[in-house]
Amino acid sequence: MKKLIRTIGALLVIAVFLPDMRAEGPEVPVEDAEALAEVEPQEETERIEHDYSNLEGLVIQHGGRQKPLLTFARESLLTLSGRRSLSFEDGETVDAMGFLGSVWIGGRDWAHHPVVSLDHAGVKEALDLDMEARRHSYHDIVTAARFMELMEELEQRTETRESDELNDFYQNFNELVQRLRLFRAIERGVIMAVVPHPEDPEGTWATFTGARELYSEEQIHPFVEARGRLLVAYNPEMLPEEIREQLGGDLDFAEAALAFREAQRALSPEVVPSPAKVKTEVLYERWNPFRLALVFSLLACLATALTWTAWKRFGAIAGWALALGAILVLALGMAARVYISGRAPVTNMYETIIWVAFGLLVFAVIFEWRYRCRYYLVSATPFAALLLLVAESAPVMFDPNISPLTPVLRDNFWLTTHVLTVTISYAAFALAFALGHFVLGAQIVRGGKMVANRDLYAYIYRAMQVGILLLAIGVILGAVWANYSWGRFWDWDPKETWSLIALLGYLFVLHGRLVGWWGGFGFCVGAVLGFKGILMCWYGVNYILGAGLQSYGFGSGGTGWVVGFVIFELLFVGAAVVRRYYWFSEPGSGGRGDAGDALNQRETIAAGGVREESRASP
Amino acid sequence: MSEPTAVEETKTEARQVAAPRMKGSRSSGGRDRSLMWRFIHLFGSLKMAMWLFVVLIVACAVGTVYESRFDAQIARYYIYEAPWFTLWLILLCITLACAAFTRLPWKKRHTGFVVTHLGIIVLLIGAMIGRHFGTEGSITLRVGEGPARHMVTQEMALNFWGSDGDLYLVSFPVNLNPPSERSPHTVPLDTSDRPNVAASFQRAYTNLFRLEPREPALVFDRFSENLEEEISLIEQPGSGNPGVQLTLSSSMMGGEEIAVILQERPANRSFHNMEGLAQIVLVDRIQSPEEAGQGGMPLLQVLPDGNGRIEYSVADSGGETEEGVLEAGESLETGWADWTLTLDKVYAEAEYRQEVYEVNGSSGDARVPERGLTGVRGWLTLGDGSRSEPRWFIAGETETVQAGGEVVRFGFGNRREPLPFTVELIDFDVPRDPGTENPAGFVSTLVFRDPDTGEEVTDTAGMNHPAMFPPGFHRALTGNTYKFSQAHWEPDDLNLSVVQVLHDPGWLLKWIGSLIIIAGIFIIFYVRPYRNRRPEDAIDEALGSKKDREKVS
Repeated sequence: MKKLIRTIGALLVIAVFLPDMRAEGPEVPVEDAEALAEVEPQEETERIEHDYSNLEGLVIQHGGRQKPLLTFARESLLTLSGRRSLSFEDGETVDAMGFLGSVWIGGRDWAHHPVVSLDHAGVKEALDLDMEARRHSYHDIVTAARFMELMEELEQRTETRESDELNDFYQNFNELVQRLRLFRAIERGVIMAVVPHPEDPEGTWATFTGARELYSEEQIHPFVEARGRLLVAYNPEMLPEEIREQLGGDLDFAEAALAFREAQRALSPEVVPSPAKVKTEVLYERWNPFRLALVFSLLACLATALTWTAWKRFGAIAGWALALGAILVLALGMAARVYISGRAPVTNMYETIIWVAFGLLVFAVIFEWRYRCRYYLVSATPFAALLLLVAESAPVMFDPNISPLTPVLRDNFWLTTHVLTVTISYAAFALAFALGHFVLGAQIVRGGKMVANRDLYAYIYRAMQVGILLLAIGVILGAVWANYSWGRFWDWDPKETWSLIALLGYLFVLHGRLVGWWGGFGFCVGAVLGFKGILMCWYGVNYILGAGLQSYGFGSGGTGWVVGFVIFELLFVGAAVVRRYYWFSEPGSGGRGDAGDALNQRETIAAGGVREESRASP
Repeated sequence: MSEPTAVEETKTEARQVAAPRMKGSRSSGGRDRSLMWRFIHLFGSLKMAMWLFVVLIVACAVGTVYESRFDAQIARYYIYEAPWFTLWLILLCITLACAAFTRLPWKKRHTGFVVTHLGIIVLLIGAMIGRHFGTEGSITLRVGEGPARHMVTQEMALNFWGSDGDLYLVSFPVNLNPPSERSPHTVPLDTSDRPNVAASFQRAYTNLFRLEPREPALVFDRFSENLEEEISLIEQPGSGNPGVQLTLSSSMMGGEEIAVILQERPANRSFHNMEGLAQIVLVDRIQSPEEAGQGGMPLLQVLPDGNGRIEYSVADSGGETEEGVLEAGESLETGWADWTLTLDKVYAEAEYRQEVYEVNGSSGDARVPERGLTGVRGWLTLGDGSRSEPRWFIAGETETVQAGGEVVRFGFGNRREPLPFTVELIDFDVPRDPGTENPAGFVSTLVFRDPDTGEEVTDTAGMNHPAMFPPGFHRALTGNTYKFSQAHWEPDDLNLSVVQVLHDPGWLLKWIGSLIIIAGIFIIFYVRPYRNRRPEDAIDEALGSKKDREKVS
């Protein structure tokens, strides 16, 4: 009994010192402008480093789901600073866990460090900030002379208008305010919902401040005590001597973190996600399998390309191994996402890009296994790497976070199969697209009525066939979904209309070949240009048109890049056409019908050709 | 893999498509001479199909841009559901059929090609059946409001009572194709039962050259979704109806509201409802709030005393009542928040006067997203020179217009369509994501009753899981049923749910057509009826050889 009283006393003292209790206040993120502006300059706490690996698996409820602290830390730091880790002028580097841990546990004051990203020249100018810097300190921003004035203006505008009608300046300012709110919410701990709901897996979790609404003093006691130990382990100076003694003196941080995590689980074992799930997500976050796959496919490309004429056998083995490695890693990464989120891995742009890269490699490997021509491997791998690079390098545009879906997208078998089929067809078209570049590139290099290795045309055709069949199935499955969900078969929604346009475009390319409007070269041009329809359907509808029912996850940004890419492609095709018909260094060989004439010619772009390859391969 | 395989594997897909082409052009002499076969060859040519492709692609692309710029309804009206687009699809059907006929007699190798074309034709026929015989609309339901018997469609229609006393319905798509002074819309008050070809030509001619109609017609020259209606009172001795005009103002709510009440007999509008917060009633006798049946709701009873004053009784939500007499121009604290009431004028005998005007939306504040009333401006013309004054007519109201000695009653708005059964909302549930206010789904529990068979079914309409009536697997399969899916919800009113209703009898054909298309494409690409060919042929047909092309062109 005496012990209990003493511990409760100790806990009360701890409560006073708990960082998230410093600013005893409402449980909601800061809403009003005044609160944002009220910054108390604090003394710079000394930098303390710890091993956070045991704390990474602590579960926090945020953004509509339960996730490991590591995920939360990364997402938060990414939102705040647009970075995965922070590095400062004095040489200090802090990763996401280090940042979050130092704020939440150590109470370190980051308000004077350039953490908050702001890259809009207009807003920077209005706030009189350093125009060169991309990140600024919370303090500098909120104490800027015009900050309050802009806040009020923003409030007025959001009240009277739909927020998406805000102009560019206020849009950016609004995003900045969201980041400031997140910063403040982390600093005050009001966002740190780590106390699980006692019985409801769907219930709302609490912070330590709100824990007593969910649990009795006695129930919560072990968890609060574990937290006290964690504080002591973080920095013994944080609590007075006698409490430290009661908590067990000097402690090892990693051990305390583990105990803290276990205390959380013990509090509500049914509600906290299973250790396997948490472990999977932590591993997924730590390893970043998609980056690994990016490296693998680049290496696979290099291995195949560099051994095109020599060391073929070695190149084949290395290329195959690396490509299969990339596929394996991608599959593991996607499986992890499926396991974590409990749904198919194609619910936003980021996931579809990964899925298409995966499909691209799988198709390439399957065709490669069938034809042993190396063209599939050497063209698919760099394109897959490019896709992965795009997905990984623009986290603001392509949100890698796993978040709950909009209601329409949930729980539907047809939807899942429809989206999987349509997007995997993009992969087949992407393969035809990549192969098409091969022919066009050779055309640009050689000029004249070049006759490509005619098997290449057939390879492109093969890939396109798969794409057409899958896209047709996917579009029809979409109609089945629509009928199942709404009773409507076809709705002329932009997404479905564009998928139809893309399909018609490819059919146009195929039929034009039959009608004799173009031959093998025109067919390659079609394979390259046809992909513009896919791009429009995939990216354009969501990011450029921004309309329709099916385009969940509207986004913005990157339009410049995509338009640039399209222009580059058009120039590329244009260059090939010009080189073929108007500006060639070699005398033209025969008439226009390259494919037909090729029967009589043994000219191929790549030395060796298919037949030799197939003999050489195992 | 051995050498021959490597070449053979660059398959022969196009044979099924390319080879028939050669056969097609080698048609027998008898066929070439007959007019029908010439037609079939003309429409079955691949070049024709290519042009159809191009137009379809461009039209669809333009449609999506329209949808992005304006809205889905506009895109449908001008492109996807426009007559010319339908015509284009019919043309596509004919081309597909003709292309298949040019290959007669069909051989084994034609299988994939014929099957695919057949599939597309079946699908398109299904789509047209769905368009013609299917229906689509929405129903706004409230828990406890009882069963609904109608749905509201997206199309606008105009109803008028003909001289024979019957009600006529005409399509009236003013929201999609708004009339203007330069091109007004004419709705002839045509009461003939059968469609009259000559009359419709004349109508088109009249509209095209903007002539004065020669028959009784309603003419409209403006459409607006930004109208405001102001109701005031004017003295009308002999009407027998007393009226009162009051002004309510509140600095807290930052507003002023003018309440106009007229004692009409039979009384149908003798009260003013302040957005459901309070009610002002014109009465013959002041009653206690309990008697007035408004227990709990703030209520103001007004009784004109015949001398330009009113007796009043004001009750707040707690039932506190205050009574007194008010002179014109005098004010009174209502006790409802800080609302103050001023008596403007008492009319011994009065009549409503309705005024409609257009709020200038273009130059005005773009910050006002809310729209006003929807209406059209127009007049009645009799075709003999007599016409009524132009004025605004509001959607959803029955309007009366008079010219010469003729009186016409009409109304317009979104067309309502009766359902062959009733539907009632008994529960609406919005589960949320853990720890947030984001809706995780919507579930409307609906009860369907068929008055003919007495069948009663309870079903739920959730996201991606629509309710269906009449139920049954074969009905779901054939589309011979009505599907109810969740369309809208009101975050502030969780008893309200808007469901979308869809009935599509073409579904089975669309479904079969889709399966056939997939099977056809698969056969073309992956089933090879002829295996013993020279490897060169394989490549030729994959790419379309010179010889092939000569045959085609």
